Amino acid sequence: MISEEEVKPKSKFAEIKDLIDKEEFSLRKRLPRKLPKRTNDVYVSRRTNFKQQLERCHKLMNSGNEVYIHGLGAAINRAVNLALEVKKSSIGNVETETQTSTVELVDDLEPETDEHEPEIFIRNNSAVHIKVFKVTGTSVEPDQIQLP
Amino acid sequence: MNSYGQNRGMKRKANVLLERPKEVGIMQYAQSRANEIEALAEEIKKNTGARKVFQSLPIHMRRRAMSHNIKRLPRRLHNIARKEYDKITSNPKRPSRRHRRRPKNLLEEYQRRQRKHIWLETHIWHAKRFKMEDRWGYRIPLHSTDKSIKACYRATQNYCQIQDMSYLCCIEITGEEKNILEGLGHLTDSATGLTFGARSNMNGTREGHTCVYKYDKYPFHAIGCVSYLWKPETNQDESNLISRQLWIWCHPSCYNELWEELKICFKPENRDSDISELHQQTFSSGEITVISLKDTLNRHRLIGPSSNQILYQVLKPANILKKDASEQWWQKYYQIPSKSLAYTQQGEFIESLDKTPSPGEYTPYSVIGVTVGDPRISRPDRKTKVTKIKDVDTDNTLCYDKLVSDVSMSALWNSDIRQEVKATKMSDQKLNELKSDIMIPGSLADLGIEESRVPVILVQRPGTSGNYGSGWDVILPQNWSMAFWLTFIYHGARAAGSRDLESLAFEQSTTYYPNDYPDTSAGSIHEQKSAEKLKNKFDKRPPAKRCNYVKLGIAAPFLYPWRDLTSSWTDGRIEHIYVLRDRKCLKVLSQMFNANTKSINQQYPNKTMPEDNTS
Repeated sequence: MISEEEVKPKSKFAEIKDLIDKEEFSLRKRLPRKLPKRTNDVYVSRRTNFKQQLERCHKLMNSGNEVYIHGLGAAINRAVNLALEVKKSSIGNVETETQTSTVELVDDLEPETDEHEPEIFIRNNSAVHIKVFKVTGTSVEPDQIQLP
Repeated sequence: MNSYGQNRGMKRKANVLLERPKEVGIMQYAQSRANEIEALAEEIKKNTGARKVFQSLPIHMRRRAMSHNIKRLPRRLHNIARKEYDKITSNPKRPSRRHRRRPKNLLEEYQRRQRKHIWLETHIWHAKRFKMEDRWGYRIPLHSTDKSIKACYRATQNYCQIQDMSYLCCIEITGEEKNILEGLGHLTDSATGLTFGARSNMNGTREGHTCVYKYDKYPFHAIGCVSYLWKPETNQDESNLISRQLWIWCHPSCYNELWEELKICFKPENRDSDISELHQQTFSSGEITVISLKDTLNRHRLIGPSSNQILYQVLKPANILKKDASEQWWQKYYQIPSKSLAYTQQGEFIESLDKTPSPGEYTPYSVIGVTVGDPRISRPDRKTKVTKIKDVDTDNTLCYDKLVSDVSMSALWNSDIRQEVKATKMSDQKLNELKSDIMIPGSLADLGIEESRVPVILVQRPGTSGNYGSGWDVILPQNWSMAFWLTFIYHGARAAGSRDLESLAFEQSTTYYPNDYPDTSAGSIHEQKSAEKLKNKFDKRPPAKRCNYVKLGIAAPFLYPWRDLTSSWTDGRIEHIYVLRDRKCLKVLSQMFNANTKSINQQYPNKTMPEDNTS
């Protein structure tokens, strides 16, 4: 029983892959939902120019002291890279705070032949949200320091 | 020097004298000159050009009011002048603009002008702002008269573009499902993808698209690409379940061809018994009835991410639950509990529009029927910009939930209701009077039972994979086009014409009918016309400034000579060419090309590949 359950999610995926291979369905991926964007949000994708985004982050850091970098799926690596690069190259004390989340993605399986019904396949993908912010020595308020 | 010149003159004179005639016939000479003089005099007398008779008189003989009173002229000119006056009276002056612009006369003039090319309902609005052209039997807006290419692109990318697609022709087929599919099976082939009988579209929750060919002629003689919509199957339908209804939407350039083919499909063997061909609009054979709904349904196309918000603002679900004594169509229609349940679901869908950033997030080609209130009531006084989306719903289950056929059902499928909605539309004048009576301007007038309820069908269009070009098609009943159109525009949609539709297809790298279908008759007509246009443009330039195509080695700069291409492959044995639309062959081809050039992204739905006739 246990072994069957373990196989089950795999089998569904394999089933879909099989159907696509047999040319009975074609896969169409929908874009993840676009959320409202602030000026200091930086969305990283695999296609964006890394150097350009680094420059953009620097600009935002100089003007606003904090930047939020988001990356989804395969772009997580690049997002982390970008955040570390910003941290490394900026003068002064720059810290990062990382949060992860899961994004639901929708795939459409469009039938290629008349006999099949269209299907919708939902999968999850991980995302990372990194807050990069400046910490200056003077900005720490006296009442925030806890005395032992 | 002088003497020398004189000598020379003398010499010449002597020579001339030597050549003189021996005698001159005076009578003959005078006769011929007299003829010449007479001809010249006649020529002078003739009043040519724009000059009037009295203008030929010298100034001292001119009198007041000579132009309309013959007796002021000298008697010898009376005859000529009379002819001139007759000409004027037989060709009366054009009536004054004031007279022509009177409502009755203006309407008469509009009727006359519409006789040859059909006008869309939004024609007058477009004619004031757009370059219009006669195409496919309609007068179609081409593009806006202000500079708008970039603005139109931005509208599709970031805002909302709207197109009046009412020129698309709808054909309704009613009958038993099996019989309809059997007939239409002769026009399509499953190798090209989904056909009319696709299970995904049979329950009416999705719009389908297919390529139509002449009766059993696949792969030759393509007619064009059509979209089709089955009437949703609902359990508690009053009519029997066996009878189905199908709408086929085709382009006007291939409408006549398709109509003729449908006649061949559904005509029984014995011609005189069953056919009752009343007029060109309908024909029936046995249990199948084919009705042309050409120009009785309107279709607006909204493209771009903001179309969601605009639809949300324009389509306010109508109040149908108020029970009054009078029997309106919506009260009868929504008596059935399943339909009123669907009504709430449709309302939920409209609510979700405001919280969804892009129409591309909904299920592709999903169909939603809605009954909405009069759009003119909620219309803002001035044009407004599209507001930025405020709160995005993080839960998007509604977008991909499987649609129930009840939600896709609309009263628009019923021809009686369509007629009633068309007839009971309140006139603009009356509505404006009611609006002006309200104390606080802009406050919503609750007209109660007086307000019309309009059944509307929404069809999603997915666009390309990056959601570019995604949007909604809104199908409206007759007479309501202008009311909705203006409300869409006032809420910030940007109007565009067919040029922008072509450029959208280009940006999406999809095909555009009829330009990209060279094997259809509409496509070949387009090709010839565009070749003629290009040739004329080429000929207008001075020869020195023309592009030297001979030197550049371009054999056919204006036309695609498909036939020449294929004849070089097959020793000229071919008769017809066709475009390869077989999915499997295309897949193999694209794999082959992709193997060679992996960097080039190839996502064309059908590639033009002329093939030789195997017969």
